[in-house]
Amino acid sequence: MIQTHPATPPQSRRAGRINLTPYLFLAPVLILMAVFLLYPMVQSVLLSFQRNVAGDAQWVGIAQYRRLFGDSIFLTSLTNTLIFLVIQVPVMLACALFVAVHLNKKNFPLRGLFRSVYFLPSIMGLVAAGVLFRLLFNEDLGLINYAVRSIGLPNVPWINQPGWAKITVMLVMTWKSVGFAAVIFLAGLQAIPEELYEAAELDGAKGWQIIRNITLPLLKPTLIFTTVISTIGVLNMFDEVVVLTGGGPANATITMGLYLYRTAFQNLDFNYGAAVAWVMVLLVAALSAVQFLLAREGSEG
Amino acid sequence: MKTPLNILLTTALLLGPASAQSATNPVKGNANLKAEITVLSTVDDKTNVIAFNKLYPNVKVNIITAPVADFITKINTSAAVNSFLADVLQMPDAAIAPIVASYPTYLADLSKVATKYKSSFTTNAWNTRNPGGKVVAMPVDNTSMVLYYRADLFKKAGIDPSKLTTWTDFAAAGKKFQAAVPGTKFLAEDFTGTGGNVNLLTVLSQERNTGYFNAKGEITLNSPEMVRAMTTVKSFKDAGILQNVQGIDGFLGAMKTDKFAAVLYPAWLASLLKVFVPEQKGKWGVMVPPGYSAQGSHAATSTGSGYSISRNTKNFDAAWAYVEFVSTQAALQIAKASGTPFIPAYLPALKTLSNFADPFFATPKYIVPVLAVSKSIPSVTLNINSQNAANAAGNAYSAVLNTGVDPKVALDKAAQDLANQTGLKIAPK
Repeated sequence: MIQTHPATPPQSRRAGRINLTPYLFLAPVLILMAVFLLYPMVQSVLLSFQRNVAGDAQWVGIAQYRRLFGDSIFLTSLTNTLIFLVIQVPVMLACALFVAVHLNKKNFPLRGLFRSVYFLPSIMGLVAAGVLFRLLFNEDLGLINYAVRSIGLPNVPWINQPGWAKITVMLVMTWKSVGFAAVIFLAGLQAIPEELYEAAELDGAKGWQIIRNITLPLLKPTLIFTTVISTIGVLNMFDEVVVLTGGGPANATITMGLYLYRTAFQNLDFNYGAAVAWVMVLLVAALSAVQFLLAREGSEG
Repeated sequence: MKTPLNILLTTALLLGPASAQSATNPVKGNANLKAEITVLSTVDDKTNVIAFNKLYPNVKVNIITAPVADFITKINTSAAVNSFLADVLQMPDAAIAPIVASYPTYLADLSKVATKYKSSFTTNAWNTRNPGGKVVAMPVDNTSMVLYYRADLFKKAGIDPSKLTTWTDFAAAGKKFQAAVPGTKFLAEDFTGTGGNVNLLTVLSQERNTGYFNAKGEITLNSPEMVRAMTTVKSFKDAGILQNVQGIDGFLGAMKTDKFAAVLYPAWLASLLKVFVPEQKGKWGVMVPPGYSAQGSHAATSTGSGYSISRNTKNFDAAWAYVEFVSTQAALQIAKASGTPFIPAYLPALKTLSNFADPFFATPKYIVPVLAVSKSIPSVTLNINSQNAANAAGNAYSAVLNTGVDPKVALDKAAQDLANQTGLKIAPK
């Protein structure tokens, strides 16, 4: 009988060697992410702790962040951004849900056409939309005030008064976003089983009762998703205001995104701009975390 | 027998003086200068290139254009990474001081070639484009503020423009105009003040020799003189003689539909009016703005641009040839070729061009008032905080014109906001 060394069990053989194949497949993406995402993020963190003096970088610790909280214009931009968040997002989501509920009805006429019409604004470029609405809302020459005057009302200072300017920005944002959110809600609505509605109708439930007790609870994951996406969009808002109002009048519509752009790319203060950017990141992360926590508590309850 | 060394030395002695001569001559040119250069500009300026190539036929010029809105961002981003954008860069005034302060190695040092021209520009034009004693740009366009007015509408309202020598006369004429031509406002202004576009306040304040900072770098945005200037602006608004024109599209739309009869703007607008409103030929006049008194200052300046050279250029001589030509001779050459010249900052050229007549204007010798204003421009220099100051002034402007805030309250807030943002002190009153 020939004695041979006992065969090494397969598990022991695999335990000593790392399988590189999955990493090799992931490597191109990881390298791209490291170069174009991770490296710039690390660099911008480092920038926010420095100051540029005649081309040389100087470490200044948290001085840039301290400067932020004494900067009245930054605080104004933060306030404006939060105002847009608190008012525009719920209004937009409510409008989008209203549209989606009606587009979901089988007997709604020309459903396909209306879906396209509502979705079209979301594929229009933000800058193009800003230019278009700046012309439409022009106090003397714009089409909207022409219509307002034709029914006997005076010109509305859409862009020239702080309060009206905020409303104008929110109107444009809502016009732009409703279609996209409605399409997402529509997908969520179509996943709700018909039998639940039939059973509710048999029990005598109508209209708002059905929406409150069936539609909204089952649409919750979609609602959370659209709320988080809309929140991030508002906190980063730049394109709409830079073209439509330029952040005015008198900083009434300046947002953190616009302030960041002015600081970094107009004033060339990249260090201070980096500090603004990281405050925005932390704010987005905090609000998103709060929203997820509230959503989770709701479902556990 | 001459040794190779003797031949070489002889050759060097003969060629030495020739090689020491300048490669550029903005009047005679240089056909021996051969290169290909790129120029970054807001407009595809073919007329300058055609005029240039008559003197430098072997220098090929490629113009790279970028939209005005992106221009400063493009230059700032390139400066931040010290990348090569073009051999010659049209530098907006607002961009020069921050770039020189933050990225001192981005623009080429022009002190050896450009300093000889310093006395041929106003102090303001030179210092704005060459902050802190460094020479990095040649002024190109003339930024003197003049009053453009619709001569036909003035005539309709019975207003003689030559009598508008003071702001008091101007305000009275405005009220008379509104009564005679009710559908048109007297003076156009951008009520939003976006980006510091506050032409009326600029003229009123500079005529009182005040700006956003004093010589010590302290904030003077809420100085008594600035408050006085803003109060005058508010009085015009309250009298109903101002037309709100927001942004370039608002301005053009209002111009084309006769919404206003006059506007304060830098001299460089003159060469663009033909492009904007060719159908209004013969209607636009140009005059020196009113002043606080007939004998007092009528001079103010806005912002324009200069031409710089990238430090990383490989064609310095050719790039300098172009910069030198455009800033000193181009306007003259274009006028000689019966084109429409831009109004130059270069004073000798401006003096020669004061005889240039263009029938597009109701006052054909439209450069004469520009020369009059240019001779007494106050010294207002831009610095690294100027854009922040301009934005703060714009916000105050907007608050006063759109919501009726008291001028002193608006300017005090603007000054405090600027102090918070920049860490600078507000000048004591």
